[in-house]
Amino acid sequence: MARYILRRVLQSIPLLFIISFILFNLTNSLGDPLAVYAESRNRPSARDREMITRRLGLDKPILEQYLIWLVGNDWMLVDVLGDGSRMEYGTRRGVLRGDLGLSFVTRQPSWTRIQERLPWTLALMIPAYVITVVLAIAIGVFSAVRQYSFWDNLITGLSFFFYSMPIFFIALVTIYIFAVQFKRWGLEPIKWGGTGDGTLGSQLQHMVLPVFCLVAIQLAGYVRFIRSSMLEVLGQDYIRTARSKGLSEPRVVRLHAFKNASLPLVTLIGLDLPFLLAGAVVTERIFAWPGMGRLFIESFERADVPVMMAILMVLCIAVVVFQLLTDIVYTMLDPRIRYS
Amino acid sequence: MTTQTNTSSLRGGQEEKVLSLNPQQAAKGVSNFARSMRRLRKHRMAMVGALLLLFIFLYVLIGSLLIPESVSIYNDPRRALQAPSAEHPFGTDVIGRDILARTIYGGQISLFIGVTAMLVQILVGAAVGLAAGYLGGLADALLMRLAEAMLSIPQLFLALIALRIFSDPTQFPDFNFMGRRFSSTMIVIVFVIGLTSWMRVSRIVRSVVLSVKEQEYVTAARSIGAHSWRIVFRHVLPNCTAPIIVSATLGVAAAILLEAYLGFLGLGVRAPTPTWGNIMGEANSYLDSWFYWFFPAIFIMLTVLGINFLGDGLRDAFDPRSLK
Amino acid sequence: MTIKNRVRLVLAFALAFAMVFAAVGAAPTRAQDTLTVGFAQEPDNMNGFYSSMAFAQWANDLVQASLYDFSDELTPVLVLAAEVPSRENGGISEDFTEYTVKLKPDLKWSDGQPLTADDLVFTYQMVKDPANNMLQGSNIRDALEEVELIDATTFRLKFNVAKPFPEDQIGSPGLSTILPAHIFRPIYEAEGTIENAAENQDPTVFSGPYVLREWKRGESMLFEANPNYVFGEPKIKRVLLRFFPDTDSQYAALAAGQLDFVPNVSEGDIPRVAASNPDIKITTVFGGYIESLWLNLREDTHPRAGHPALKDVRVRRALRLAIDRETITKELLAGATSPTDSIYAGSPFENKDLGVTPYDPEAAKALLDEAGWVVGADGIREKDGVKLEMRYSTTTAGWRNNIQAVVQQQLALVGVSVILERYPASEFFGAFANGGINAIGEYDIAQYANNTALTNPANVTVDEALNCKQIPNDDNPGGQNFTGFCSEEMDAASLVTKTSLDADERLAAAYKIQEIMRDNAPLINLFPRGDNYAYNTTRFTTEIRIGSGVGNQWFDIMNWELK
Repeated sequence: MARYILRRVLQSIPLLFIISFILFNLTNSLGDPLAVYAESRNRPSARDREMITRRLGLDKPILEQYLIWLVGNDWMLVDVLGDGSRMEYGTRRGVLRGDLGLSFVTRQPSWTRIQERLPWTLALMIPAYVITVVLAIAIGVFSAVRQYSFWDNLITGLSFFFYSMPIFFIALVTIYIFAVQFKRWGLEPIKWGGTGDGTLGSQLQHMVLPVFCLVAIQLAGYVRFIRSSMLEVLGQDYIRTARSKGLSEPRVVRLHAFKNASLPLVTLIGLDLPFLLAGAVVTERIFAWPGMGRLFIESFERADVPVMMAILMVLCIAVVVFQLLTDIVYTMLDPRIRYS
Repeated sequence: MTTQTNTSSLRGGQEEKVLSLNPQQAAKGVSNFARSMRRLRKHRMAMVGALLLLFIFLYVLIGSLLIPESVSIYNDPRRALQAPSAEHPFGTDVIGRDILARTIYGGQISLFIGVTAMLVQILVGAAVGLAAGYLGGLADALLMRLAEAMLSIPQLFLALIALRIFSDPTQFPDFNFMGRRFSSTMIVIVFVIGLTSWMRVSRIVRSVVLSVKEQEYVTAARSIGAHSWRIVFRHVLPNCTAPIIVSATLGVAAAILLEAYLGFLGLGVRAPTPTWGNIMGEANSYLDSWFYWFFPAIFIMLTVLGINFLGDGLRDAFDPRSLK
Repeated sequence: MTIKNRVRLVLAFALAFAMVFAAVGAAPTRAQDTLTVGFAQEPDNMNGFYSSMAFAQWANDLVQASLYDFSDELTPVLVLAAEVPSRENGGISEDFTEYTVKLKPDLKWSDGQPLTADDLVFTYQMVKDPANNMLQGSNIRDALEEVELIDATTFRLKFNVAKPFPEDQIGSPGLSTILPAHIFRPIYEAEGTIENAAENQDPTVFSGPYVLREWKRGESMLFEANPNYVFGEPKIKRVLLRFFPDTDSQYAALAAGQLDFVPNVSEGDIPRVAASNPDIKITTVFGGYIESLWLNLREDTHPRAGHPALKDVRVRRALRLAIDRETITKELLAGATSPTDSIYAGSPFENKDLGVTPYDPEAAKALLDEAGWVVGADGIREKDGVKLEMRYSTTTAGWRNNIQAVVQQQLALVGVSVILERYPASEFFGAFANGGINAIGEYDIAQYANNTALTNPANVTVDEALNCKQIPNDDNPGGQNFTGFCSEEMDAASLVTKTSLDADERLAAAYKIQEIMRDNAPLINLFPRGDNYAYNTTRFTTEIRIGSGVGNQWFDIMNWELK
């Protein structure tokens, strides 16, 4: 097992290098990070702009920039003024030494910017995800054991309906009803937009609509997944054997069917979990939630390469790690599988 | 029933596509296919989906025959954000354009993007899957690593970046087609969506290739000196058609949704070309003018719903095991 | 362990995590004495020298005192300075190269340390050192020779050229941030730069009416009254800035009474904001921008040459006549502003007799006919086989694209066809070296804002963006004149507005510039953009005074009072 893990980790290293190189090239082609200043009231002079470009290292060839991003520039002399009159050692240590670089926009470490947003994203995504999975298991199993009943058909129909709904639609409709119209009807509107005034109660209230929307959208896919893997298992010979042994139906479902049907669910969850870190771009946008998705869009719009790269690399590493964890959990749950 | 004939014409289109992919398909395959189609016709939800799609299709097609494009462009700031009325059944937008006309012309583009992005996705996915499975070894490892790499980044992020890089009007200027002016971004977005969503198709195709390679008749065919890509067409593709048709159908829905999300963020297809997505992008800051966002959103939803119904029916039809 | 138990365990963990994260960032609740302000963007830096963002400036101005501000009527307001230096009071030398500035006595930083001329001297030294890599202060940096400490309340600045406008070197338009030397000096001495100082992001010492208590990134900033402020502790005890990613949720919060004050209401949104709640009042102050259509008059091919028709002044004037600016401002912008032909619109230097070109499509047609551009078979004008079809580019901002569509339709009525193009701001405003769309001239008509002058007639648009010497090319990649317009006469007048030591002479030169621009139409002014502020009148005891775009919007905040 340990050898298997080691091999997987070693395999993922070149993969991460390739991804980072491609992404670095792409994100650096997004435009001029200093362009946002053009229309501002106190725009920097052309000379200052040039100097900042040099300071940020944006005047260098892209390959050199990538190397500096990787290994830093504290071992090489940087021409601060561009005329060779003032040479100083760089200050960056590079990603390989844990320095994700400074944000072009705020000049803070990129990692700090992620740390500021990550808790908010998780505060939204984890409850939404937990509710989704719990509800999906309940509904999916319920639906599967009553295949083709009225309830099963209703659930299948509804899950198609929500599965096909763009999240902005359900979000706008819920805001329109529960916030805008409620007020018109003299009811207490549900608060939305931002995370509240800092108290837990207010924050929970602000979470109601976004969590509802996220659950509504995600639930359908999971319900369908669980229903079909349950159906597959329920059709197997060993379930028939269990039934013929005289086990009660709930026991058959719980002990035998669900246990086996949950294996593919573990894989699905393992593959989905790292993407919770990315947040929900559209949902965060609509509900003014200060999460990672919005940080990515904000960085994207200002061509803040270090922050975008940091977000993308954190995600890629999380995906690799979670895939590995999923494999390990899988072997623990399914004794038939052994890695060597 | 009239709807029956209509939907069977839709199916006819798909049948043709499959046949063209697979000119030398054995008679056995065709009868299998015909049986699947019969099953599909009995699938109630699939038929509802097909009906929905037919409705949407007629809406954007007949709509554009009844209402000229100039109506969707004509603006009059004096009548901005008017609620639905007899004159403007879906109301007017922020510069007084008719929303009904814009959902018609925007719908054409959204559907176009959905279908063509799906084609790109299928072609690239099939090509990569075939190459990886067939060549094996290093090529396989590299291609599958690439797929893995692309799957580890949220597609929306990747699409945002690629779309911005390649939607530079100085390189790809806007163009005129049939008397209408289109933004080049609507073509760019097709490739961006297609090239960021081929990975699953390539995995399906690769696994089919690998299993076919092991079959005795392929070994036999090879031993009598059959040409490699002859084997591909004779044995691999017929075995892929069912999963490909299913993922193609669902791929259209995914492409339409992705376009809508990009448009919603204001970073999708650019004006002057409307799409359901970018109308949403303009409309979402006018929460109170519900008609502005409601109509494009409902069209997106109905289209995706129709496709999902149909895709589910196709899956059941091709894989009778799940029907029991 | 059974699967069920494992699932339970996992869920329990997940929930626990969720709870912990949910509890993150608990802050004091909003009380009656808190002014809640909505911001559409989050400040990027709390050191004013490192940001060009309006929202960062506004947040900075809450915690930063300047030497002197400007009021809503553009009159100087002394803050830390004891007097505005002038030639008359001896603060400025005869040749305008030496300023002697006196501070008020007994000034204090928020931490109780004395605020002295030494802090000012240190600040000017930091501005001067290029190692600090500042975005702001270039007008000081380029001319400052020497800064000298005279005594605890007096310092002297020496410039290498005459500087007739002290506000650009010492007033809040030029210097809105004063660095606490006791904080920054050790950092500067240790690192050789203050660029990456933690204090820039999380400042701890302040001179302004408020101190920053807590910054929840992506969410809000909480300020508390500074008892050491020069005008005494403000009446409003707390200010909470909340950040909104889109204006709609911001306006909803304002209408619901969750926000008291919102800066930067865009003109197009004024009617719906005003209608959303009868208690909301909207105030417009000078903004300092004019939204304009810039015409590409260049002939050389690198950067790209503009449409040949634009070189004919009759065509340029015809375009101005053919655009119904009145309808645009009235219907799209709710009448919050009105068309102008003056580059000095809204300032004391505007020539009111200049008049505004009316909307007159017939006159436009006649002018175009006269210029030889006649209507062709397809309804588009042409001359010598060249169609009058132009590329009209701007950023991807929604309100700009709306104006584009309306202008396109209006120009079509006179036989001018325009192709609309939209670029992300990072491409549109990119530098010449990076192939920025505007810089390399990839347009015939470009729509974006120019800067107008408010406190003095030296106009950066005229001086840089329309100056003969600033036309960029490979030898002069830093040039700022992307239109290629060149008028020696206007450059001469511009130099006078910038350097003349005689106020009347400067005003005359400003009038001359306005005339040249009206007659030559190197750009078409659409409308001046004011700064629009919305606030909830039920929250304030009296009507509030808000500063202009060049000074400090909070110049009077110590007198604001909440009910």
